[in-house]
Amino acid sequence: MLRGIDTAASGMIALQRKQNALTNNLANVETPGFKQDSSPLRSFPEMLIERITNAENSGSPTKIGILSMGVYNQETIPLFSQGSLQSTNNPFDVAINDQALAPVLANGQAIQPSAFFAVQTADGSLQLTRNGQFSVNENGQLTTSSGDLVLGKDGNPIADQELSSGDVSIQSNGDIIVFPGDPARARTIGSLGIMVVNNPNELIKKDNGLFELNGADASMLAQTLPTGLQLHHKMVEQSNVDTQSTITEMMANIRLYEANQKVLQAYDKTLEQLNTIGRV
Amino acid sequence: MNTSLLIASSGVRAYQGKLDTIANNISNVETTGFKRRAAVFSENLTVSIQNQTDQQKEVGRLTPAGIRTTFGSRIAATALDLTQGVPKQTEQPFDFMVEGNGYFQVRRTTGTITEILYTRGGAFLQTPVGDGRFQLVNAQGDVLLDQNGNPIEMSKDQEFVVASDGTIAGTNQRIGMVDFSNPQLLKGDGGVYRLTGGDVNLITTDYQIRQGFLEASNVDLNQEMTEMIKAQRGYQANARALSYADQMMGVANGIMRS
Repeated sequence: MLRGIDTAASGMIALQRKQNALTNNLANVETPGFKQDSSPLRSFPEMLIERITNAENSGSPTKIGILSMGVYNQETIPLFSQGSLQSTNNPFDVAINDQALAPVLANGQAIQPSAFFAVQTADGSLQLTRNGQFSVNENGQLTTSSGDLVLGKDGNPIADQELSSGDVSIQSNGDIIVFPGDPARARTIGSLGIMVVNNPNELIKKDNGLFELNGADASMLAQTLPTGLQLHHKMVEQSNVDTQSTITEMMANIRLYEANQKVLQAYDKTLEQLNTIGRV
Repeated sequence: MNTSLLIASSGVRAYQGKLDTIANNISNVETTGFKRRAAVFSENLTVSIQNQTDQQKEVGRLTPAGIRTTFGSRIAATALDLTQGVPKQTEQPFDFMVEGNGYFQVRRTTGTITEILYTRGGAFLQTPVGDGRFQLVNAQGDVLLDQNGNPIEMSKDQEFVVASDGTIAGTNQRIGMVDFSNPQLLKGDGGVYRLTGGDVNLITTDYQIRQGFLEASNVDLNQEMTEMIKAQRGYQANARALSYADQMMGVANGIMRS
């Protein structure tokens, strides 16, 4: 059988997956705290082919060369660059600005750490998110827009009956103060738990804009925020998707997909020719 | 099935929801006491595809094994923006504006059912109840209530003056103002709100009532128009993605030539 036919098919599958990731980036252009995915393609492990029999001498078979068996979509890497901040009127909006965090050296490479809000999902697990568009549920708990509970520095969900009044100020260090304008009633009800992830590439993407870090627990929530990390109240971090480049990439991607289809058709034609040989 | 088709359609649907919210805000730019809503996007479910189980064959890989695609976006919430609207002077004695927190309580009677609804829209009218006495009703005919939950009533020849705390001069009635433990649980119903959860508390502070003024809608047309342009372009981009997905399916169909 012709080897290239599977290679061309693998190309189409890989490009389809890449297109999925690009389409998803485009659908989340306005999702707060969304981090755009890039999807690098990787060649399948290469094979070394050699001649089966060697006519000239009795030595080892002659090496012909390497052959790649196709391509696949290796991984989807979220790009953890800072999104721009947009001011809103919502008293429960907080944005993280971690642009100025000092790079961390890992495996000889300088990696930019990333900071996240910690939330507790319905099944009790600790997950991370950049989407700081919070609200308050009927129990007075601070939640994300999908209902997960936002954790404080102590690892417990932030909850207070007076939180839902909306008269709230969130300091740049994460402290939440209710009734900030009234000295008689003003009090700090807690502090937002922030987790600084040194290598954000280790995060696993979950539902509803959450990320999971293996081995993460509440004790890793930063007690004092490192320098270069600020929280901004009444701001949301916009998605870091670039619409223009995404559309351009999608257009190029379709043409590549089409090129692979043409290769498949060429093989089809070859096989067709082969079939006509034996015709009587 | 082509996944990008589904992802793109979820994006289109989410943007449609945002456009609907903006359209509603814009159409209420002149509605007294209207509070705008802001659509909030969220990501959808994520699946992890196991594409290469042999970790050691992936030299230079940065992320944990598998590839993860999210299935588009959706509107997670339309949060009520409770910013104060600007005052609009009307010189009408039965127009009130609430400055600060607080909502008027009105009683609606439909057949035999009566319910208490809440509103920031302070444009009221007199309606006669006999004996030369009047009650205050809003445009829907809901009766304005006092601190005890009784209709506010006055006689025709009485001068109607309301103090900043809501007290009506010469009577023991005060316009009953309430606040909510969670105003986000209010559900709009044509100029009035219905509470869907949380507590209602009668309040006596944190607000001032201004007679002869109305609270204008807190919709800022500039902001809404900017948002609309963004939403429309986002819609367009996702519709484009939808047609790309269609093109790809067409290409896949074209593999087999007839």
